[in-house]
Parts: sequence; structure tokens; C-alpha cells
Amino acid sequence: MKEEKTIRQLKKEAMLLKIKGYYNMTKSELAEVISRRRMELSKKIRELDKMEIDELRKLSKEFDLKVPWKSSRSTFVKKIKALFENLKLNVESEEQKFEKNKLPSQNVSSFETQKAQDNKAPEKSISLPVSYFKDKFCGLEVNPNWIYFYWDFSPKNLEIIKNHSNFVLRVYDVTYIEFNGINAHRTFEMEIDEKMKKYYVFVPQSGADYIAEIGYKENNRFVPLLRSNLVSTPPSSAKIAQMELWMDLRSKRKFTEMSPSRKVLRIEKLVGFSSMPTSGFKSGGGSFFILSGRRGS
Amino acid sequence: MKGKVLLMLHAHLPYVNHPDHPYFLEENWLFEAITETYIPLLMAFKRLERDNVPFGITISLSPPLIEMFAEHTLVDKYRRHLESLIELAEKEVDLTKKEEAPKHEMALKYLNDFKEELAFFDNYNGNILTAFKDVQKTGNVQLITCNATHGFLPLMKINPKAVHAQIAIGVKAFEERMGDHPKGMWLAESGYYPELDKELAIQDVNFFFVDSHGLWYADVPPHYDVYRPVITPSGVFVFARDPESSEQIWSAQLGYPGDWNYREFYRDVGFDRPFDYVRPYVDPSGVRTNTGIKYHRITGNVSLGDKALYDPQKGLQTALMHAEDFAKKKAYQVQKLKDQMGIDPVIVAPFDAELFGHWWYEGPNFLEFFLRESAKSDIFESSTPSRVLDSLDDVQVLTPAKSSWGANGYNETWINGSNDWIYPHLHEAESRMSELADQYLNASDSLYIRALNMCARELLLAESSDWAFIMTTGTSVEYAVNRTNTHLSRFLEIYDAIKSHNIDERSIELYEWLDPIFPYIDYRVYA
Repeated sequence: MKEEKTIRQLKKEAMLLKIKGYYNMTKSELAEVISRRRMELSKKIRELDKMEIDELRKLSKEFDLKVPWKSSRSTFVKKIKALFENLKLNVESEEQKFEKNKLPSQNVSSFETQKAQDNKAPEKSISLPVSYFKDKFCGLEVNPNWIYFYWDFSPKNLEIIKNHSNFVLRVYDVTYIEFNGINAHRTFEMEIDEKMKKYYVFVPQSGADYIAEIGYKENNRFVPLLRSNLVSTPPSSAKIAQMELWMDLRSKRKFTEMSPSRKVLRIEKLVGFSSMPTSGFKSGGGSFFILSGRRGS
Repeated sequence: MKGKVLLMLHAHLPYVNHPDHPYFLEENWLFEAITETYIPLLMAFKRLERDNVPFGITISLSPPLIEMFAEHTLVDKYRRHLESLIELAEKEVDLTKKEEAPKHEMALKYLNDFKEELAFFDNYNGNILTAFKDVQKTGNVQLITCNATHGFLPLMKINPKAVHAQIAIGVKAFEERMGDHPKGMWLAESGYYPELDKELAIQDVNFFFVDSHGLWYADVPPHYDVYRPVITPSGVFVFARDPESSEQIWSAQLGYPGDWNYREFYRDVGFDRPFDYVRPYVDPSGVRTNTGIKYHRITGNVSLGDKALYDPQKGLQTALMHAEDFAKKKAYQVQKLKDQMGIDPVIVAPFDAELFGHWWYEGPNFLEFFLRESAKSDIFESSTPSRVLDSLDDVQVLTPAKSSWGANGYNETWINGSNDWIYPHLHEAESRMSELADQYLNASDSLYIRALNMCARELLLAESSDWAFIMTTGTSVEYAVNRTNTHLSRFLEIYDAIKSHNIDERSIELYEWLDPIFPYIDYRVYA
């Protein structure tokens, strides 16, 4: 059997593999994301020679490789290959990966044992519960097109989950609708790993109202387990209105006015490139990372 | 009538107080901000008043900052910090006698400035809040509050009672410590969503701020774009950020603080001098840190080692030149908008206060010069929200759109792969807090009341948007993660103790000592 790594080693590995948010992961979570990431990257290695230059550039940027923007395809491929070799990505056999993937979930069955194992790592002296064992399904809007969902299950639902497979996340566009389960404008669905406990999903409409359900498929029938709160994506463009409402502050009276033509000429920022950029959007856990600081700071 | 320019400085730092440690690295955030930003700004306002210069500026004092100013152990630590800085400056004066002349001149300036700051600090008996109260007397400086611990409210909306508590405690903190009801509130990170204004109306808060697109994408387009305040249906006034002003100051290419004559932030004697020499003035664990004494200027696109020496006269002249330029740009903008609008425009320019002085050394001078320039202008004047609202006859009614001043204008700075793990815990703690408040609404046992109030403090401290922000930016991440974990796990511990009727008075006492924020808190605000 393979030797177990310490949480410190795992964190370092996660850092090298550019895994976001590894700081606070538990040992089992780390092992899981690392093995997922390794699998994903070894798949990428095999595709490296077929990749578009834009994808290569993105990949080298992701790993902070200082390859000049205008370099040739072969330079990118060479540099990325060298890096991946350093990370020992293509050296491992599928069996080893499989084993690593399995190990943590078998060894760590509860939060308590997890804590005992982590005790040696001083930086991780405080742990929060991995579950509150309550049904919870919450959606939070990230920006006009992305929603973050997280969920947690009660023991009753955990029991149901044990006996089913084919879990899906459904998102309903319910803008201006009193939702009854079947009257949504649009219904979106994706297969999920319910153990991930969180997903970021792309939704097409800004300034819209969404409700989601998480459940499983049985004989092609969707059985919902939990329904989320209403999530309203922020608007990303100006509304059109015929009337304006005003208030006279002396008399406190309100009055309306026809919207006249706009007073202030506003010039909005235009974004453009000489060729169509490849889209980085993908639904699913972990593929979302747009990071930057406060505006102007 | 003249157009109005509203400068709004948001003064905020997360609550960092470690009475159990004689020295704690992150406490320096406060100490550096006092020395480099808050006292220099206060001194600039006093000079303007001494010279009878009419001006207007708004400062939001966040409750965590207010509470740190009022915390004696921190005040004492700050005084010692400033004294040791003076000691270092004295050594520097001595040492630089044998070095280049500009260095020596700068060392003398530091020594003089630090001594003046200590005198200023002692003049107010170490109470910075009194100094702020003092400068607001004339009405030139308008002080407002912020929501309790700077929690990012759009991601808290799912627990309306937690949002209510953030707003109510933000108002209460200001009333308790400043002895005055705050007329306005800066919502943490300018985070707004429709309905939030109702909470402000309940607390009798008269105005708040949103980012530009909060008005652009409102339920009805704003008649005057972002250049006049509006009112929400619940009767709260809204000011929106002017995109031009922030860009003129901060833009990477054209912005002022990057001028080559300005002082370089990253060259510090804490790193430049021999270790044995700086040891008493840096982290006792033996890690070099910034001291605040810096001798170099930005110079250009050169490496840190190749920076040229700073010339304070040149730095000051550059700040004056930039202030004049900014005033000219504001006059031009006001004139242009007035022609289009047929009414006086109101230009709102909000900034993080700590950028002036801490990052941009000459920033407080720039502001002072700009306010002096504005007083001479026939076209515009610097003003405050309350003055603008007093002069208003009618106002457009609309509901702003969900928005924040974070990167890309929404929530992604505070929720992404690096920090999303905090939300399930925060939301759970928030709903448990309301559950406790409902259950113990009529509690009379003083130990229960203390435990319940401590629960509220732990939750509030965990809710600070700063932790999520730090996790996103990637510096001091471990500290932010620890603080989040610490407060949440203490919350859960006290919650369990209350629920199982097994409260340990000694641990409550310990937590009260460790985090004495909001001593006047009443957990019933969560009911």
C-alpha cells in the first residue's frame, strides 16, 4: 500500500497544481481535489499537441509560466511539458491514481477521525464541522451570469441518497412567475456529484429570478430532494421606462414625468480583440476563478 | 450656484486586537494607518480650519475602527509603537549624517513628523475619536458610519435578521462612541440589493452610497445619470460613484500615485538596514517588516535596488501639481455636465481612506491642496451629503440595482473558489443566532445574557468582508482563515453550551477579554 501523505505535503502539492482554495480543505478533500486535478491534467498532456494556441497560452498563464505571448506553439508545448514532467504528472499509472482517489474516503469515515489525524499539523488546530446534518440548499448570485450553490443533507436524505444514483441539479428561470414546479420559462439541468456539496453554474439571463432543485433521476423521472431559495441575478444593462417618478421635498408630494431623452451622454467601455477570444466559461465545481481586488485599490 | 464635488473617504480596518500577545503583527495595520493616514488627515483638516478655508469632505468611520480607537490596550500599544518609531528615527538621523544628504534630510523630517504626531495624539489623550469629533464641529467634515463589522450584505441577504443586526449595530456603535446619530452609512464594499434601503429607513439613516451601475441599471434609468442624488421608495437618499474621478486618481497609466517623484512604498529600512540594527523595530519573531521609514522614490520602471533617493520638496510640489490638475479636471467636468443637465451636478468620489498616506505617502497633502484649490473655484465647491440634501428641491424616486464596488461590480471578490467555504458556516451561525435570540428573548440570568452577547460578537467578527477579501487577494491568507475558523468555532462552542445549559463562565470571560468589541451589544437585535 502506498504511504500516506501529511496534510502539509498535500497542501504543498495542491499549491503546485494551482488548486484554488486549498488552504482550508480537510485532508480527504485535498486528496480528492488533487487526484481529480492530476487526472484532468494528465488528460490535458495527451491533448497538448492538438491544442489551440489560445488554450496553450491560458494553460501556461495558469501555471505562471513566463512564456512570451508571441511564442510559437512548439515553445508553449515544450515548456508546459517540462513543467508537467516536473510535477510528475505522466509518470503515475492509472492504478496508482485510482488507489489515491479511493484511499481517503475509505480511511476517513467521520469528522472525528479526521480531526485526530490532523492534530499533528499545527496550522490546522481548529476545524469546523464538515456537515451540519440538516437539509440546506442555498443559491447565491456571484455576478449577472453565475450562481453559486451549496447544499447539505439531513440523515433522512442521506439515507435516500445512499440508495440512488444519477444526481442532477435543475435550475428554473422563474422571472415574474409564481413557481409551481412545472411553469418555469426555461429549465436547465446538469449531472452532479452530490458529494461536492457545491457548484457554480452559468445562467444565461442577467436580472432574472432563478430557483433550483437538487434530486436524482429514476426511470427517466426527476425526483427532487431539496429546493433552493430564490436567486436573483443582478441586471447588467439599463432598463427602459416611459415614466419617471419624482418627489417634491418641500411638500413631500410625488409626481410623475414622461421620461425625456437622456440628459447626460454616457460613453460605456467597449471591449474588443482582433480575433474572437475562446470562451473560458464552463459550468461545474472548481472551474470558476476570476480573482481580483477592490476596484481602484 | 456651483457644482458640488463630494469626496468620501471610507476609513476601515478589520477588528484586530490580541490582548493576549504583547506584539501581534496584524495589529500593525491599525498602527500604520493611524501614523500614516488618520493623524495626517486630521492635521490637514485642522490646518484648513485654522486658515478659514471652506471645504467639505465625508469620512465613514467603520465600527471596527471606532471600537479599536476606543480600546485601551490597543491605544497603549500604539503609543509604545510610535515611541519606538521615534527612537528609530533618532538613530536614523544619527546614521544618515554620514550618508547622502537627501537621506539625512528625510530622516529629520520623519523624526519631526513622528514627534508632532505624538504631541497630537497626547493632546487628545490618545483618543482619536475625540479628534474626529473635533474636526466635524464646523460641519466641513461629515462623519458617517458603516454596517457593524463590514459584513458584505448581498451574500447575507438569505438571513434578513443578520442583515438587520449589521445595520442596527452599525448605527448603535456610532451613537455610543461618537455621541451622535449617524445621518449616513457606507455599506461595506458599497454592496447593495433592492430592499436593503428599508433596513436603513428603519434605523433612520438618511443616505447611503452605491456604485455607478447601481443607478445605471436601476428599475428606472436615472434622469441625471450618477450626477444627482436620488431617493428610494422607502425614503432614503442615494449618492452614486462618479467613474471618472476614481479613474483620474487611480488609473494604472494616468493615475497620480504612480508618479516617479513620489515616495516608494516597498523600499523600507526594515529591509535595508543590518538585521541587528532593525531587530527591535520589526517583528520579534525575527521576520523583517516595514517600519515606515523609507528613503526612496518610485523613480521609474526599475528594480527596487535601483530606486533613487526621495526628495520631499519635489514630492510635495508634485502633489500640489496633481491637486491643481485634479481641480481643473473637476471644473471642466462640472461645466460640461452643467451644460448638458441644466442643473448643478453632484460628483461623488469615494476612496478607501488608507490609500491616502499609507500607500500614497503624499496623499493627505494632495487632498489638502485639492480642498484649498476648490475653495478658490467659481465653478465648483467641495461639499458634504447633508449640505447637498439641504439644498435639494425635488428628487427622482427609484430603486438602485444590485451592485458593489468590487472587481467587475458584483460579488465575485467575496465569493469564489478561495473563500466560498465560509458561507455555509456563516449562514448556519446566522440562523442559529436568531434561533437563540428568539428562544432567550426574555432571559434574565446574567451568565446567559453574557453568553448570548458573546455569540453575537463572534458571529459579527466572523462576518467581516475583510476575511473573504484577503483570501481572494492571497496575502495574509492564513490569518484570515484562522480568524474565520476561530470566531465560528467559538460561536458553535458557546451555542452548544447555551443549548445544553452548561455555560462555563471562565471561557465566556476569556472570550470577552479577547474580543471586547461592542460592549453595549444586545443579542435581541437578532430576534
